[in-house]
Amino acid sequence: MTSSNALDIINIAKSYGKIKALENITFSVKKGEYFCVLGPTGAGKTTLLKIISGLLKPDKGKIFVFGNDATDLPPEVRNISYMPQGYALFHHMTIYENVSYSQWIKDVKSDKPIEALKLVGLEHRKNDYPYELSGGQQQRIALARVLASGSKILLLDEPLSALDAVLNIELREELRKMIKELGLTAIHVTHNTAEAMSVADRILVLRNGNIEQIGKPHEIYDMPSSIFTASFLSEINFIDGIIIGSGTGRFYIETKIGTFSILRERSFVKEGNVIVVYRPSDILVSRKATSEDNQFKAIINDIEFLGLITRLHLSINSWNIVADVWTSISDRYKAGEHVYVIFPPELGIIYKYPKEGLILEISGDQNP
Amino acid sequence: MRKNMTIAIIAIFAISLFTLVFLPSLYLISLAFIEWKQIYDEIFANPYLGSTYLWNILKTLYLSFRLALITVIIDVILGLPLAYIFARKNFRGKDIIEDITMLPLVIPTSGFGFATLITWTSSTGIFRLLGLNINTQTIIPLINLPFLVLIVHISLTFPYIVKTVSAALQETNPAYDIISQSLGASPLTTFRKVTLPLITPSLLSGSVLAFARSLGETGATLIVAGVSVTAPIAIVKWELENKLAPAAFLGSLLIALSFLLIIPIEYYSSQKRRISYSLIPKTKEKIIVKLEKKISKNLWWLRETASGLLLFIMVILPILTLLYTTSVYWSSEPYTGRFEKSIVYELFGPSKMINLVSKAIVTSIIVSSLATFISIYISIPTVLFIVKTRYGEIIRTLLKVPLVVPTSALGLSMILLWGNEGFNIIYPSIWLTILTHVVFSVPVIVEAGVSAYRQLNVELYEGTARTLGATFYDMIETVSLPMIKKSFVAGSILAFTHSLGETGATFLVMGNDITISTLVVNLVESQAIGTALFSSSLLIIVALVLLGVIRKITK
Repeated sequence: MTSSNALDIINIAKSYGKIKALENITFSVKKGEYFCVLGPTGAGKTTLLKIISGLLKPDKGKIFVFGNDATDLPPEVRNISYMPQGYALFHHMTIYENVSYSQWIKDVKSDKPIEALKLVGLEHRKNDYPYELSGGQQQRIALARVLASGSKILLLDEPLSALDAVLNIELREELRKMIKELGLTAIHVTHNTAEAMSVADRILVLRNGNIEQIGKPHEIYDMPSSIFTASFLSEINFIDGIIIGSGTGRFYIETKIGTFSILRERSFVKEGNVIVVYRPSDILVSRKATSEDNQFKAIINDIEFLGLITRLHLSINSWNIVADVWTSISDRYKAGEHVYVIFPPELGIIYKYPKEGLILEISGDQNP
Repeated sequence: MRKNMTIAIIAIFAISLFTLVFLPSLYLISLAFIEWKQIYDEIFANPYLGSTYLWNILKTLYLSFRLALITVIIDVILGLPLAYIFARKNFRGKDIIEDITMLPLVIPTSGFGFATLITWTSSTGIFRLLGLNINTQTIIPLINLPFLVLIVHISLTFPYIVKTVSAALQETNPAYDIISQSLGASPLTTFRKVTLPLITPSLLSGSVLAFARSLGETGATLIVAGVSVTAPIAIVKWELENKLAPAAFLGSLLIALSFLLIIPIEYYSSQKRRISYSLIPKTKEKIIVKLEKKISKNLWWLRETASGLLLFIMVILPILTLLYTTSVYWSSEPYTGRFEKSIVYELFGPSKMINLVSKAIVTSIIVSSLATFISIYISIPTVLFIVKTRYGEIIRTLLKVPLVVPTSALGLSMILLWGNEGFNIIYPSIWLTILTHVVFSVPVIVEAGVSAYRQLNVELYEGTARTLGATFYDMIETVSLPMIKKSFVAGSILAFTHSLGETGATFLVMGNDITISTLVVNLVESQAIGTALFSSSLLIIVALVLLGVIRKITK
């Protein structure tokens, strides 16, 4: 086991009766890394965190913490701290009592709590109670408590999901900054794509207890490994077709509106029935015809003004798509207008046609 | 080593919970089977009396079930508007009015029964002044029920309906009401078609509690019943006359019948599926809706007025009358001015009633304190067991049993279980009283602890504590228990208050160690009215003070 990893999870599985909460979960988290687990509700995120912290025993598999087998260790000796939504500061204790909880419980004297409070800049509030602090200060106290406990790994279970959008953005920036400064390794669980993208060094996408994909945020965004992930990360346009040929580094796909040509490296398959996926922001819209590939004539059905961008609802024959364009006040599109839509060959993604059907694949539900 | 310790602790706890709390109720039912021959000989084929006992048993059961049913129906009619107001309206003094509504659940029943008695029948009560001539013999025609008993039962049970329904109403989204009314339905139609179906499960469980309480009510009923004999009173009478066989048989029937009735309704109301029913034939719907519109428009004041009157007549008036009468009779009889008829003379004069009262007070304090103390020690591991293990919910459900078992039946089973017919360890005395009070105190404290644990989401904090280095025991000591401490203390005070006021079971198990609440019954029966006034007022004032303390703690 390489000890450059803070955490190695090997083949973890857990079921509740007949329901498989986790299956064959294997991944590693590097020292000092900010690692996000992203997935919809019911994907098994909290179960995974509880297993890592030791609050729950896995049915099988191994957990290594800094290279040492911790699978059978109880939570109190793992040196992994768990921080749930709302931070779970003990409200019957003062700030100092909270931060020094770990020392108190083990009956040791230490300067660590005060040092930790100094580090998060809240030493002067040590005799206050948690409810007297703002949300941001509570977050810092929770971090100080983890730091004082000596844990090097921090598990964050939807820490920001109870907050409104503005506060969420503010606190997640601070959270990442503090964790990086304090040199902690963080595993942050969330269902909020933007939150994961903005804080994570790497993201693990979890679906129905299985790992869907692991990678850096931009890698996952650029090339989601499944239609499910693609549609979970953002809204997508998709159309089904058949690969009818290849050449000059491209595949040619026959669809109901015409032939698409897409770069070979943008495909997960080589032949057969496929789904072609484009994000609204990757589609180009133009009033004039150009010589680009994958150009189709479309009509604007509706216009949605979203501020910085404008979302166009278009039809290409019977195929309805959405395309996002920069808002231009001087040159506005109008409903009923005819335009040209271009699908750049280097931005489309080709997936194998899912055998469970498209709707099930996108909704991410378990197969019946 | 530590594992063995844990197993030993769990075993001791499980055994004590079972023997102290569950066994008495089970024992009485099983007795009907074990001692069947003796019961048969005495009740069904008594050589001297024939089947007189059987007929008496059936008669009292018929009266008790009819009484409970009508009580619940009236509770629902009167309680729903009040629950609606508590859940949906905001006004000054709402907190106090809510507290007043819950008073009948905590104040000593014998004291409250006496208060009701003098309110309706004595010369200091308002109804005499209004020219109403009511006494304990007054029977309501048509439903053929003793008037005062029905009044007392309604007073003591309607808070259950108000409590459960207003809690359910608070959980339902008021947007449903608004949407329905914005679509053209009158408030009354909205209530019937939208709100009522949403709260039906809670209405049912509230009704079950009210029904069970009415079925088992002893303390207040003893005082206002006159010649009417309900089932719990029959048990008390027979036991005091040492006719154990019919008392035990009636007791086990009462327990078994309340279960047969309560379990299906509890099960039905616990189902998550939507409950649909229609009380009114579809063809009449139009007429009804029109009528409801008219009522909503013209009679909207009725809801507030009826609720106010209900509270005033059923709860406030009796308490005020009691305190007023006590003050009037304190130093002299108000009509003749004679000192010899005053409360002070009765207490401190030649009869020296104060000795009796103070002895009863001391007994009561010892009983309530010890019973609460023991209950707390049983409750702490019980709460942990319920929230921490898979089988906890079963225990939680079983703990509802002592709450629905009629108290006089419980008292009887305690005697039979611990006395010379059973284990032969404890005889009717202060010690058996304490043990009996433990039976119904444990569920009260446990429920307070469990609901606090769930509401405060303690599990989340426990997980955090574990990962910060706390062992399971550290976690319990430093996080779990401190977090639920407040509710636990409040639950304990509530149990203490219950214990102070309990009459039905205590009457049977106390032997010569009379408690203050049972003393009230004896005083009324022996016409020592002055002392009865003093003791009842004292009990109610103490209960009010304790309620104030609970409020202070939980707020």
